[in-house]
Amino acid sequence: MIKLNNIYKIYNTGGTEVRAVNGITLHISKGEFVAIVGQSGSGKSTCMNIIGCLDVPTSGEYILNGKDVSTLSDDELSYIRNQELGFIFQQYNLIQKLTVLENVELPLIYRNMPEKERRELAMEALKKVGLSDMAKRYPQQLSGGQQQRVSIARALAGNPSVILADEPTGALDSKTGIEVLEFIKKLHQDGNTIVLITHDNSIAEKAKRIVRIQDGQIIEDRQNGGK
Amino acid sequence: MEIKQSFMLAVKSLLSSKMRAILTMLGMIIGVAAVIVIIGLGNGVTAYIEDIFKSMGANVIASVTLYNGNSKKIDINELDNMVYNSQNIAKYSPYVTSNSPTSVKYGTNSHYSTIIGGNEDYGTVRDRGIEQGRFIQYLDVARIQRVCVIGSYVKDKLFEDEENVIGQNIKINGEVFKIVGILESKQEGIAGGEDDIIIIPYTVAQRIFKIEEVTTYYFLATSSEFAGEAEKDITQFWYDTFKDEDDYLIINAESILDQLNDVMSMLTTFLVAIAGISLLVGGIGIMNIMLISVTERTKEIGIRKALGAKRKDIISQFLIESITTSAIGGIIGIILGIIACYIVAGAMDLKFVISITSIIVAVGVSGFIGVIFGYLPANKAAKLNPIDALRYE
Repeated sequence: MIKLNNIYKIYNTGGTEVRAVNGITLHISKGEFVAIVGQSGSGKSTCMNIIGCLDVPTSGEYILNGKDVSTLSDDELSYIRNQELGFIFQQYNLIQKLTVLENVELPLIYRNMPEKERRELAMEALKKVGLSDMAKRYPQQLSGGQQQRVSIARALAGNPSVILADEPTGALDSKTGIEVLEFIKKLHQDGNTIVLITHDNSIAEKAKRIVRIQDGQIIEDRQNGGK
Repeated sequence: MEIKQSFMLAVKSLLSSKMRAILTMLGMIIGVAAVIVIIGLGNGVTAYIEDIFKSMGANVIASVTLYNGNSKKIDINELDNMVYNSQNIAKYSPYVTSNSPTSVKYGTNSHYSTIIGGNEDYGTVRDRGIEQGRFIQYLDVARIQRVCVIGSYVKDKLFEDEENVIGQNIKINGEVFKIVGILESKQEGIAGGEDDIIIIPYTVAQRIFKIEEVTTYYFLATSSEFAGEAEKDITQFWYDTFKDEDDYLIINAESILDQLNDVMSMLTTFLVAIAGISLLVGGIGIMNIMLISVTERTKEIGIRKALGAKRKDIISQFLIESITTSAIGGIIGIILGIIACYIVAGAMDLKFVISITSIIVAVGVSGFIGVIFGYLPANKAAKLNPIDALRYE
């Protein structure tokens, strides 16, 4: 499903070369639940941007679902993100001016899906996260945990091949954080492929496979029971 | 991206900050309103001028002799001959008038009116029909009879509700005149207007106003096609008499109207161009606010791009927003412009004409400005890198 082969991401800032990702090779199969763990500055965010097709590597090859996406243009990457990827962000990243339902619909709008079909899929996704009665509300009327569940619904609505969760509990209190994590675990049990990015080891322990990154390289890659 | 949703979002964001929306649209509103007012009143003034010239009579050519110390005179018999022989001129009439309103009395009622001296064809040449009685006749002119035809306004002033006016005597400039007819009303009913006149034989007018030579003649062309040819015949006659082009003036209503219309349309174009500058400034105002809006919504753009929005989706979202803004501004401008037309036209006693063209032009221009000045900010938004945009707080 995800094949990162010898990926480098090198920035040149004022003459000094920064190797944010320094030769990473990582293969993730369909249905896996992988946590990428690392301290801030370890290169895990850059790694996640590349996996999420938000950024392209300086060199190396990235095959997503059998398609080489390492050299695509801006618009082509938009298309891939729209079709293949679901994002869950630390800050939820909901659009405040849109209702909950409209937020969940957003990826489907960019697929040019007809309104009726789109509405049904979005309502279905909201039902899965238990927020179908909040559809007409605006994000700021919801609690942090609820907002994160809306963003999960948005990630689910398009039925993507991979769900990328970037510090999904970072902005939540521990109790709500655990609820959200349980939710993500449930998504995995339903057969979704999940990549979780975190700096927190205890959160990483929930995953079935832990990949540890330091200084832009993988220093550990192990299977995990997943508590 | 759905056009409907973009449009609803644009309206929502305009409504959520009304003050800002109004300031954004102000330049647009003023520009469009100015265009509507200028075109509306310009058309009104043009129509007004046309009316004045039409009232001079269709196909009418006027000839004015200036007598710049020239001792030569128009011979009325030769003029008769010329008109009789011309294929292009149907009728003519001398025109003699007092320079100021003249006292008119009936019993104790008195009034000041314009006295016009003409011949038996004056009514035909100047398109004035008779309501009651008869017009001046050839014999009245030849025998210098003190008879008169009065306008409806004069009749109302002197006789009020009295019915039998024909045959009554009135005093004009202290001399007794018999009323032989009443002119058909032009429905103006204002002092100094078309209905506030008295027509008498020009020979009589020459006597009571002590005017030795008739300086003005009106000619009626056989039809509007022949107006140009008629003008040539008249010019030839006056030139033959005076041998100097500076001694007379031939005025063709048609050609003067054309010239005036040219001047009016030039003036209108010029004023519209000035109003256009206001539209341009309005467009720049919209662009400014859109650029600010793009910066404020960097995060939203990042989210949309992360979820799969392509450049064209972002561009169309912001373009629709700027078009909506300028179109709403344009519509408000049209409404204010029409209101302003009513107020200005009322104050200046003018008619105005709101042409569909001017509205279409105003709407078209405001939409166009929305596209032109929205494109730069929209393009800036579309080019944002999603990672940087997402990180933006």
